[in-house]
Amino acid sequence: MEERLKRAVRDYFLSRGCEEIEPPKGVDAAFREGENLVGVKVVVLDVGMVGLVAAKRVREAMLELLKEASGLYDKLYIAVPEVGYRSLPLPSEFRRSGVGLLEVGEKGVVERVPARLLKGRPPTQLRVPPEFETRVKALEERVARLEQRLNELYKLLEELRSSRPPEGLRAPPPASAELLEAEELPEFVRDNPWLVELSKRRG
Amino acid sequence: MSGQQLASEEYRYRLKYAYGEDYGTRFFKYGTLRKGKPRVKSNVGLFIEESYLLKFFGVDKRIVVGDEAIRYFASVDTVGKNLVYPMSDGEVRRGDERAWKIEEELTREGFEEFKKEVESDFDGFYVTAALSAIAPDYMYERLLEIHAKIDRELGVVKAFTVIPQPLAVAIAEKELSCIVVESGHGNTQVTPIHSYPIREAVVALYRGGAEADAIAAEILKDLGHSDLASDELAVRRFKEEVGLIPLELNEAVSKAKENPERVRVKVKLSALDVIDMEDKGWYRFLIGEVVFNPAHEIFESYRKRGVLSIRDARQGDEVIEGTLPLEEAVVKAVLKTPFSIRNTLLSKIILSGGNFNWRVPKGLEDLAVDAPTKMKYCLNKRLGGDINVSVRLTQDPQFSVWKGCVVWSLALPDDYHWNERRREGWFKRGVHY
Repeated sequence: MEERLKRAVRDYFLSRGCEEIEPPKGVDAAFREGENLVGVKVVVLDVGMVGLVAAKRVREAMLELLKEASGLYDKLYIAVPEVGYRSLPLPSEFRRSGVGLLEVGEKGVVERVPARLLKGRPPTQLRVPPEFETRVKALEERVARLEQRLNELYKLLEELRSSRPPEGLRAPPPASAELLEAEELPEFVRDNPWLVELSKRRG
Repeated sequence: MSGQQLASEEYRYRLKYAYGEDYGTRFFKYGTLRKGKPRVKSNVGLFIEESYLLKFFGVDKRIVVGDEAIRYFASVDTVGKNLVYPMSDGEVRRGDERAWKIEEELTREGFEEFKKEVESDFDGFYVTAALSAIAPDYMYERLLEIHAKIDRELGVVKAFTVIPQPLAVAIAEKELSCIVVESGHGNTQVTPIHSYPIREAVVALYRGGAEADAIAAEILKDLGHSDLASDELAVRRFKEEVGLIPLELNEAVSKAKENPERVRVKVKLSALDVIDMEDKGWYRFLIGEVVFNPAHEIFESYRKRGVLSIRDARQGDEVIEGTLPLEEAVVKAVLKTPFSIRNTLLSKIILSGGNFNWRVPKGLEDLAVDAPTKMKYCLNKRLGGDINVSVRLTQDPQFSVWKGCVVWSLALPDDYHWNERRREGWFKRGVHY
């Protein structure tokens, strides 16, 4: 199975005018495509391996590939047999990681997700205006401050809830406890903390 | 008259006229707090074309809703075309005017019934309706419109508001901070609640009782009862009679196959229909498992045949796989809540809805469990045993949403007006319409 996949991948890249590099490092097959080096990892999925199990296996292979080969190649691909989209991670996961997806079926190799250039991209694409970086940094700091404030507020809320509020602040006895008893309220209303909680809400 | 007296007076009024409405996919539950429990109608409508037969029976309405619709089935030639279930997966489609007409008619009939029982001080009900946690904005807007319209016609709605169904469950359960896992016919919603529902943390899965029904129908076919497999009522009864939740599916199935007599069951669905599962008793575990983990390999053949085609849910930019295991959905929801409340939430998980209501037959305690035990087991397995996870079933799965609604109607202050952004507060006569 693995050999068949490798053969199909090799034929595919050679037909694109690429040159094979031997021996491949950190991948199962490697090619030179113009100025770029392309690495391909072949993932074999057993017949019984479908759905989330297969997707997990592919995801692990993707992470392994990024860890071991991202410094060595300009583009990386995962090659899998044709198993259907339900047995693969979402295309967005591939796009986010930059790893491309090749599906090897009866009719040959199909590039389901193109690989992104991992290094040596044209500088025009990578260059970020300095003011943009400054703004992003400022926003990050602001979000961190807000998160911290939010956590403090939740903590405060928890403390308030666990302590008795001062007499003046206590919610008006929801039309008094005696009234509740007098009306023989159903069990789900009696002593329901939401009665007090809701009575505090204001527009 | 002092403020306190006024409050008491108003509270007395609310005790009499707090009204709840639970718009479920299958049933509409409605009524006043005073009654202690709601009335229930099927959420269905029948559009009637002119017919001499119906005129003969004195029916001059063009639309019949609820259980009354079922009475006229036989008199209507084209039931399939005219019978409308307005909700699917807890939603009414935006432009489906026939469906909205049915919801409006059900709502109106509810008020007409209860209006007959009011006293001389009546100036309209305080009405709280509950919708699915993932109901789109237009459903809220449409319900506001419908209630304003009915009030103009009948003078029965003094103030109206809408809350998410899981929040109503938390209220009925008297929990201010918890996670509600509500599993209905068409969807399952995981909603963290901390005084308010944490909307951005809601995780919805488009699966529920319908998937358990689909598996039960396939089992009936495999057992040679294809005729019953297409009968909705027979399938549901069969599912309820035989379904079991396994603690560990693989283990339960293998033990059941080793000793089929232990899980063999004979079910009498009617005087003429007796189903003997013989050596296929292990199928019973599939019915209970499918809500928890339809991604299990054992369901692969059902997925391939299209028996289980569970659609993914899109929430914002995120796509949530319909087959996501339930414990993963809970973890996903909790991870979207603030760090400081995560442990509190995990320590109070409430399961609500008929899909969690499974029995454990005597003698099968080592193979089958109830839903809270299963959920707790899956979460402990996922998170490690040192986390304090507590799971319980809602005390009243059938009516807890309605109960939460009437408590809301009873307690929400009169001057807390409808806020579009928060989708909370009273939409009031004289203020909004």
